[in-house]
Amino acid sequence: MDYRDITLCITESCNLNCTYCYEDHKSSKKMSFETAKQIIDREMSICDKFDGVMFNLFGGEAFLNFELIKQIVNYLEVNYRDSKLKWHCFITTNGTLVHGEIQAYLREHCGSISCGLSLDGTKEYHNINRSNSFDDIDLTFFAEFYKNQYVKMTISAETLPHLSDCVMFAHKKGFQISCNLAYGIDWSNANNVSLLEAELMKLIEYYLDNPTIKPCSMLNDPIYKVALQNKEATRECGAGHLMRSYDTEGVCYPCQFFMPISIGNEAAQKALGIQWHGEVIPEDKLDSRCKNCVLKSCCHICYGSNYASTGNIYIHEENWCRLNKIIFKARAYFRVKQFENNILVGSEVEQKATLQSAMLILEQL
Amino acid sequence: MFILKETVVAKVREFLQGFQLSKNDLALAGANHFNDCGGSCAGGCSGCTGSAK
Repeated sequence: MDYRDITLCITESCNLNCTYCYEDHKSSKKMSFETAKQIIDREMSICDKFDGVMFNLFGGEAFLNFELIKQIVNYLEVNYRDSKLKWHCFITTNGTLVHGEIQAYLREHCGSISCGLSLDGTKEYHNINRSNSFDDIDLTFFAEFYKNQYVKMTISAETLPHLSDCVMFAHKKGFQISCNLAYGIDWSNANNVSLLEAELMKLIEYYLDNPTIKPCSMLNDPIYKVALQNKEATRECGAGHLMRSYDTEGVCYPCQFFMPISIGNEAAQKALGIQWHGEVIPEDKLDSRCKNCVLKSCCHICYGSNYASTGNIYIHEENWCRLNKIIFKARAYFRVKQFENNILVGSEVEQKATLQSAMLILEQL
Repeated sequence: MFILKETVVAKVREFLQGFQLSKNDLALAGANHFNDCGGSCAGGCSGCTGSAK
């Protein structure tokens, strides 16, 4: 099932103050039910290549507007129950409000709505990043009720030295993990390079010793497009193309990073005038540092982060790029080690594409 | 860090002998799905958490 990703920012407020949060302009604004209905009707009337629409109900902390969540789900269940175009609601949450009545609601409407938890690791390191909120989360509920759902783990400069502990802790709690380095924070400390290398090597050894555990996204994301000989820079993200994000007023942005809640009104207004590309990034738009980079066919460029930090969707922040290359080197090394240990998965073509890519990455980075 | 032994490199090269990846191979593998971001962006769309399950 292929879903079109549509984000609705249903509240601009949050009950936490995470150290790396890129939403620097939070407010008390909330989306109205009328605005939400208009967005839903518009999106559900579009016929394109997708089988369905994934409505990402986003904040702030989305559960601070639980009333609207219930109204949206009810509206979809009543009006689009038998729609040819499928739909589902998804919420990324800090988990602190997901108890009692909300848990009961999520259980009752599990066919219509699911949640992904933000969890940054052990209690000590989660609390460093996320406003001492660890004890306010019912981890058992998320691990049991959303056992196939990844938790979102963000690594800050403070928790980088403990990355492997944080990931292994989450696995022990039963979670699969999608993790990334925080965007928009200061990664300039030269020690970050060796810290990241050492932590990723610990994780590689852990996964080689425990091959039944699905590796975290930092080591498991695909690299095989590197092996294409034409080496076009292609999209890994649908911002400004097939994804749409609506703010509390119903204004449509490329993704939530471009909304006023993240970058303020002035920059958000300017962002509405950005000329976006299709599936291939035009060569003349590419950051000069990317043009000859071995990763340009598979680098996960975050246009929103680029825009926030450099004012240009194509120009990335230098320190983040340096660390991203280490992640790709670790990923490449890990794939070869899996091959050596006869635990590399995929068809023969996929394995060969992955290994050829791995060799190119290790040779050129 | 992340340096392979020569014997491992040789084993990989032998496995890869004559292999050339085509775009058609990638299409078959579904590699152009935009939600395949793996959580590498900072956002909260379902792609970030592996799509809703």
